[in-house]
Amino acid sequence: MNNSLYNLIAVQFKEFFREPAIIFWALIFPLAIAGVLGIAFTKQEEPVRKIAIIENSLASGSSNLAKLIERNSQATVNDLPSFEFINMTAEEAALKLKRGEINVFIEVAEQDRLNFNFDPLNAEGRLVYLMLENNFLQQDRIHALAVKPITTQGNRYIDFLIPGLIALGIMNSCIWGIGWNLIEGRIKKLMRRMVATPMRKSYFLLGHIISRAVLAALEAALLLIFAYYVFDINIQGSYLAFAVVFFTGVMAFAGIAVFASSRATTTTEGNGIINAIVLPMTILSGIFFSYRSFPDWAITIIEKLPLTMLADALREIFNEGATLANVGGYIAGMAITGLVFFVAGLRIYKWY
Amino acid sequence: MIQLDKVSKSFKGVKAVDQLSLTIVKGEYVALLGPNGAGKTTLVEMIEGLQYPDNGEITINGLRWKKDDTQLRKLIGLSLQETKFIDKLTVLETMVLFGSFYGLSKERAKEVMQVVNLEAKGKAYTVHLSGGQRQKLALGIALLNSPQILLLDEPTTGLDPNARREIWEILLKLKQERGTTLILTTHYMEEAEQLCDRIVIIDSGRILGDGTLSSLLATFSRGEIITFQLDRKPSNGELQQLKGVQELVWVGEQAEGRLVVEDITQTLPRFLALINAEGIALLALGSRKKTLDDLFVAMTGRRLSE
Repeated sequence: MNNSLYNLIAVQFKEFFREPAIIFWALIFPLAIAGVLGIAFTKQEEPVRKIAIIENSLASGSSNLAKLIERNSQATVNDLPSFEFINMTAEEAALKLKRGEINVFIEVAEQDRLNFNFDPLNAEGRLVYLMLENNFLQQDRIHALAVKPITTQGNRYIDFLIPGLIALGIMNSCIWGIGWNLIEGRIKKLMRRMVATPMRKSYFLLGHIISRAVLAALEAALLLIFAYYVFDINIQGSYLAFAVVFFTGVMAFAGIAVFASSRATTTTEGNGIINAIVLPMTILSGIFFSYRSFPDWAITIIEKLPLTMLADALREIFNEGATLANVGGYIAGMAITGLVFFVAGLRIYKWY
Repeated sequence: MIQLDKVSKSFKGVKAVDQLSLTIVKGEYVALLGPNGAGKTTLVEMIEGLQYPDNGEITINGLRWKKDDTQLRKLIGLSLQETKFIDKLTVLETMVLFGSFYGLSKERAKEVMQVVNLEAKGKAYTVHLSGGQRQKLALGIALLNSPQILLLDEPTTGLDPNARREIWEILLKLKQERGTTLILTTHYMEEAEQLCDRIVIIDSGRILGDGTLSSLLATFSRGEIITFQLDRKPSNGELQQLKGVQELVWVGEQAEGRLVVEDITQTLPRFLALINAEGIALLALGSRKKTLDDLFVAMTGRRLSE
């Protein structure tokens, strides 16, 4: 039989897979982001830090400094950064400082006294100062320092990043995929034409939501497989919890998408509304960097954003071995969010 | 079959449809004729249940929108003034999708594609269709459920004459074979003349005239027209006083004009004799019966195409 719900779902898939550009943005692009960010933050080599020595001061002065420098120029403690000392004039040093090529320059003021010149607000400058200070002042105990790099699964940046990217993917897939398609249907008067038939409106919305849920699952699966092979990432917690969180996440954003698409009748309006929802969450919800550095009052708000809930729940499942019960709060929060927005959206929905 | 009783609809204080009453019986082909902004679309969309009147009542086969939506939707087939389809869906898939809303099989979709001459385009994406093909697809979708009432909003606007004629043929065939009731809006008088037994002239949300083409012309605008261009104007008043002339209109600065006459066969020889006697050269000459456009100008002072 020619079932209308089946058709409405199939239409969405056909539209998706027949548009090469959409496939790129929805499937390939997230992998590329994960790859680039993952590599950028994990495979990065420690830079050689360049430090200027003011020539005059060296010539005029300290016998000790030359020795210190000689020793320190080779000083790499385990994986700690190495330094490169360059002799130059005070003018050159000032210029290089302005250009950001160096962060610190050293001059000898009196016998054995070193002046470290750097902007105290420049974190990198302070870091260099601290490292060098340590080296210069504690020559004898230099080998007592040791660094233990963190490489255990679940604690790396990439472990933080991948669940966040999955959450971001679900949000974008639902809000753009459902919300934008619905708005476009209204702009093209296609929705109006469909509503003028005995088609069930619930099927119309379900067709969009179900097809998106499947596509979002496909996107997430691709990202997971990629992360598993390239970055050795596993789901440490419950798979069931992952599945439930995934689908309540879809539910939350599908509800928001229906709400967002409920009235817009022009491209500009639709674009604006969707961006107004997507952009703040992308920035605030701690997808790329933790939102913990925001002020406390902001954190209490950020924690309640659906994207934050989804990303946090996924991280707990991936990295902390969370079970379904552990993430129950997030699940409830997202389900309620979805339901409230869906019902509110339907109430004001502009079908014609 | 369709009854409108003092129906009104305003948008932001502007009356699109104003206290309009209209009864359409089964099997009638009715044209709603009027210029852009006359209220035609608002009127048909209220009949289609896509807009609700502020005042007044619409009944279709005794059914009312808001109460009997589902039944009415099954009864009606329609095409909107402008619908874009899903770009990357083929013609057949689009027909099957819409068919599924009525619980119709794929076979029915194919059958209707033959009716609207689109079988050859079954596998084409809708985005690649020409304007005429797109209108035929819209018409095909409207015909899927074998509707008792067909409502078409400007089905041939923007089409070339061939495509237009093709759609007319489909519609005329439908009239003979199925006895469908049709309401179409148009601002092409030719379309109204060719397709419809009954023409309802609408402007500013009101009905100005309602009847067959000949009865409308007989009631509102008698006479026939002679158009001409001369090398100079004849002496004052001579043309006006010619027997059978109802009206003389000079167009522009040149000696170019239009005579409204009772009967061309009577007046034309007199006109020619007059300019001959005055030694005026005739540069151009035309004669025709009055059309809906003349009728419309007579009623509203504006042309249909404005």
